[in-house]
This record gives sequence, C-alpha cells and structure tokens, in this order.
Amino acid sequence: MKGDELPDQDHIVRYVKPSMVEEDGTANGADFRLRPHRPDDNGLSVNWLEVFGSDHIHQLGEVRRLSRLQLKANGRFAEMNVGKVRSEVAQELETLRIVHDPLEATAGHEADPSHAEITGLPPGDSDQALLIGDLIAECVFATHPAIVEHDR
Amino acid sequence: MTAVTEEWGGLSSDTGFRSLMAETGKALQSAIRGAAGNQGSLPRFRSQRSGVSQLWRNSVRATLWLTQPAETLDFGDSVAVFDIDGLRRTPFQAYSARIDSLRDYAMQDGFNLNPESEADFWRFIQTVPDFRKGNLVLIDNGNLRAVWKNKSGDHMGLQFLGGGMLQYVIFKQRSANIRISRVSGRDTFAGLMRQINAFELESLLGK
Repeated sequence: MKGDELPDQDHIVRYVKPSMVEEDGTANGADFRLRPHRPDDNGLSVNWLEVFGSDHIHQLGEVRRLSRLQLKANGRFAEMNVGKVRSEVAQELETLRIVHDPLEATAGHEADPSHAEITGLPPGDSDQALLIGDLIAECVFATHPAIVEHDR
Repeated sequence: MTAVTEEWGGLSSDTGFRSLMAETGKALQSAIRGAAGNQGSLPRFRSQRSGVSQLWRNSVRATLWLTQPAETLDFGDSVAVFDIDGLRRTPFQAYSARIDSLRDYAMQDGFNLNPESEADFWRFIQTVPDFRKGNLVLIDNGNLRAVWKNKSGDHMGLQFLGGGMLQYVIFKQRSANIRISRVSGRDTFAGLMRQINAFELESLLGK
C-alpha cells in the first residue's frame, strides 16, 4: 500500500544514468541524492523487486518494461538490500525511510506497482547529501544492464 | 605564438601508432585547457594548428601552436607506453578520454560539462601527480566528481566546484574495531591536503 515501509529483507534497484556510472561499473554516490534543480522532489525513485515475485530475471524485466525513464545502453540498475541501506544510513541520518509509492497508469504508461521512494534525505546541494549518497552507494551489491537485447 | 610539445613512445604496430596519435592530440589539448585554469582564467585561446608526427619507429611528437601563451604542464614521468596488446594509458590520458566520454553523455542528456569544474580538475591533477587514478563521473550540475576507494572501506570523493573549491566526502576506517569516520565539507586545494594528511589517506591515494 502507498506509504508503507518496504520489508528489510527485500530489494530495490535504482536506474543510474551513464554519466554517473563509474569506470569500474559501480554506481557513484552522487546519484543517490535529491536533485538540487528539482526542489519539489521529496524522494529518490527506486523500484521494489519483490513486488514482481521471486524470479530475479522476471523482476528486472518488469522494472525495465515499466520504467518511465529514458533508459540508456550504458546505464545500469544498481541493486540494494532494503535493510542494509536502512542500517548503514542510520549511522549518519535518522530520517531516512524507504516507502512504497506505486504509480498509477497514465496516458502512454502502464501502472508501475514497483515504484518506491527513499525519503528523508538531506537537501541535494548540501555536503551531507553527498556523504549519504556515498553511503547508499556502498550498499549496492550488484548492477545490471539498463537495456538487454531481448527486451528491445 | 607559443608551441607546446609533448613526446611519447613507444609503439608496436601501425594500429597502435594511429591510436597513439589520437590519444596524444586529445591529451595535449586537455593539458592546455588545464593550464589555462591554472592561470586563474577560463580557457580562451584556440589552437592555431596542431600536428602529431612519428619521430622514429617508436616515438611520437605532438605539437600544438597557440595564438596566446599558455603555461605547459609538467607530468613528470607520465609517459605513454605501447605494449604488444595496445596502449597502456597514463592516468592523465585515461582521464582525458574519460572526460571526452562524459562530455558526450552530458550532451545527450541536455547539459554541458562545467568548464570551471574541468579546469579545476586538471589543476588538481597537476598538483597531485603521484595520486593513483580515481574514478571520474559527471554530476547533473555539470561538475566533475572523482572518487578513490579501497577494500579497507576508505573512500574519498571530490566534486570540483570551480573557483578553486572542492566538495569532499571522506570515509576512513582507522581500525576494524572502531566505527568508521565520515566527514564532508568544502575547502580549497590546500585545505583538502590538510584533510588528507589528517585522515592518513596516503595509501588510498597511492602516494
């Protein structure tokens, strides 16, 4: 349900665009902060994988299929465990929450039940935002191609 | 007119030679952009003409003739080496190629690399030639950000804000039994060097 906290044992992915993917394929922490030029944003968009069942390939396929972002060939989906992000970030920030935020269908877009948000983050242009972003990036345990051939 | 010349070698094949020609030209132009930043102004000059030539079998000379004087950069023993398998880039050349890629990504996403940030980045690299190469990304405000990490949990991220200022994030694991130290802030190059010494980050940076 919208606004519910995601379970600690579950997993989320975030799309990382090519300019934020480091040369070794990892996600840079600067991508895990609110956008300073979008002050109305309250949270960081992520996708909850387990909402699509337990098959990991199917989960990622559905995230790609339903994404409303313009995915790029060199972009990556960074995967994290919800509980790990909470516990690591809690060492520096007590306000962080990871909550379900399903998107309703709109003209041209199917509903996306996997959409979720990381909220309670510091302002995007603050020094603390990058520190927290780097801390979240350290919780990434796998990255996946944003586009795979058979999805095209 | 000022002529800036760099010589690199050696190479092992015609393919390698062509690659080295391209790399050398790009690297040289980036060096000059950085030098302009070092003089406290944005790059304004344009190259009058440039040339890259094969000096002898395994050495290349790249020369850029400038319409305005520029301070050249000293990269010490930063010599590009061609192995049988191809070019082994110096950190400087690798940064140059990476920035070209990031510039392309930015254009695709509808924003531009901040020239003040790039100038600061090259100036910083010039001041720390003994640092190992870090990972470089482009933030959506147009600024470059470099990150160094190691398996011990140490970490330093630097956003090049322009105007000689850096935004830093430092993680330092002083011992396995002690909670990791994490700090962030903004400082000048000189101020950052004091932070690096205080956090004993020499091994992270490969000094």
